[in-house]
Amino acid sequence: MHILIVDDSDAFRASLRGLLDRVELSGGARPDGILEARSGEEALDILSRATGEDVNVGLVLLDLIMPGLGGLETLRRLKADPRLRDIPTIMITISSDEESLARAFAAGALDYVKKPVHMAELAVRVAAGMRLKRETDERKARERDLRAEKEFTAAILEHSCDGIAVSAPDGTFVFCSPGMERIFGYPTGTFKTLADLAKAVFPEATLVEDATDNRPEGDPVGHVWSGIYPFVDKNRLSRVCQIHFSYMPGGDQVMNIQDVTFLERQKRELLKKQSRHQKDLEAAAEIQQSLLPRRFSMNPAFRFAWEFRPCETVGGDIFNVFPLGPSHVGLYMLDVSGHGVASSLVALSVYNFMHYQRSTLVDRTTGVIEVASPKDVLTRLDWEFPFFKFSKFFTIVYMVLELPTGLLTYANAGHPAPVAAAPDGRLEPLDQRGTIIGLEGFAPFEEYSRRLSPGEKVLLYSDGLVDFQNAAGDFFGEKRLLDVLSTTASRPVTEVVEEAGKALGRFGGRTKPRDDISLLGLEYLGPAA
Amino acid sequence: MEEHFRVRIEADSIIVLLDGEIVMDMIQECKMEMENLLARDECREMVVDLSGVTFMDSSGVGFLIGLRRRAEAAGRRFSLRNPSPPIRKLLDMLKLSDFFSLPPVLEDAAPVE
Repeated sequence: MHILIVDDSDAFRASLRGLLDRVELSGGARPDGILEARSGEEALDILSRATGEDVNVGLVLLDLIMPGLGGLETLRRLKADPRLRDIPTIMITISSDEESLARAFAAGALDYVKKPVHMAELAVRVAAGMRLKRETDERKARERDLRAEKEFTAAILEHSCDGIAVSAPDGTFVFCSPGMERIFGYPTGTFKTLADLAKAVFPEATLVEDATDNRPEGDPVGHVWSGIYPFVDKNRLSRVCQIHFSYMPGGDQVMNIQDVTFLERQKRELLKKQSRHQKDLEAAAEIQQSLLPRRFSMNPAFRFAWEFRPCETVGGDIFNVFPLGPSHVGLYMLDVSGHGVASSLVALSVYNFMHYQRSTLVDRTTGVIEVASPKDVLTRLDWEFPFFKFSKFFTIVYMVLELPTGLLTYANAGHPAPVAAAPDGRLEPLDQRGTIIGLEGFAPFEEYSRRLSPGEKVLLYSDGLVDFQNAAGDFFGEKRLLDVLSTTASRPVTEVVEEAGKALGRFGGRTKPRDDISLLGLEYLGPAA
Repeated sequence: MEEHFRVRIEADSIIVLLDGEIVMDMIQECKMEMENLLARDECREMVVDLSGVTFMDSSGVGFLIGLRRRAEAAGRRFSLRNPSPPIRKLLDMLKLSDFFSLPPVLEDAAPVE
């Protein structure tokens, strides 16, 4: 802090400076420097510049009688300037001119000293003046900080898009932020209590009841809960807000209110879309299952049975058993790559192409029905369903059983090997096969033959069966299937398939398969009598 | 986003190292990038290394078939290499080893490193 001496006498200023250099100020505080002015005008000038340059003048010693402005007028101007009025001013006077001193005190002087100046008296008064200035500075700084903090908090509340409301335990609002006006449309101050707000804006929600019910017993500080509330704003528009409730020490309740109308709408749209999508999948699955063959055959030469477990998202499995003319039965199982509606549509398309009356499977050109050979059927499929057409491939095994002889002819395009099961429990995988359907003649298909004895069965399955994973993460696997087949091989095929289905149930429980599971069994009963 | 593959350039070959599960979700994420790789001028051959692949479903197989088709349409060679045993089993069951130029596995022979 600096001290400014204002006196028209060079000699007095010098002597005062000499004294100030030597005084012992109580508290050990020493002025940082001493400034001098010869007149009131010069003093005001120095002080103005000092504030501009951040020089803190902590005390002015001002001569009462000077030419020009004079001490009293200088003091008045000093006290009229908001930047300078805090600087304590001690008047210096020769006589005890009571009237002048009274006016000086009225104008804001802190104190006075008489010429000639005594060292001890000067020390006490100067120290007191500087202390006052320091305290004033500190108080002002605190006030400034406080104000800045308050303004900052107010700005946060003003500009936050959330509405913030504080209510006393009885529901009376203590504070409502401007954000509430933006959300609800009513000017701040419209609502005196939470109940007022609830009545106008939340006519259908149980806001007040919830606030009462959810308020914890005892000290509520730290307890937070929230709810989604539909509301009607001032323009009678239906909107939705989310409110977080928390508590302040003293028990006041704080509500942070957020407009979530847009999010809620998006969520609703998404749910609607999802349920539509789910319905599509269910419809596709129903169509897929309606195409599966009947459960029994009227033909005394063979019987069949099947199990089908659809995967959650609709798969691409399909299979069928059908008569081909008077003395043959045809059967196939196919699995289109991927799953979902696209795969099931391709499966449906192949199903139509594989209809037993179509030229895919029978040739009528010669006037008699001739059953197409399995390898030709696969070749036809390969050209009809090239991969690029649907970006899908499929695996298929196609078999023709000649009923009078039991001769089974089959061709396999990448499908898991069917298993032949003799009544004595001997199993034989029919594992010769070619590549998948869709590679446009990449490798020619071959066909293979095997004679079935009466009572012998052949079982076709899709990879979804062996790849079926239970909740523990284990795969059903080939071995479990073969075990069931070998132990049940002496029984009718309906029971073999049923036992396999039970084994699947025991293994998987309620777990939904990731891929369709298909199992189709055909039993040759011998040439019809 | 999780990285599903890494790419290494060897001379005029682009080696793509696939990782993890090759299923529908993964395919949708990296189909575009694979096609961009095939379009590169310096690419004469694409080799897909399957050593990091732990699982592949039929969508994954379809993805590889589609890649081979696109490579050929663009005049690039295409092959697979280093399938782990379960992946090799899957490709063998589908009889796709020749299609993807995988060397034949010798029955009862020690695996060739």
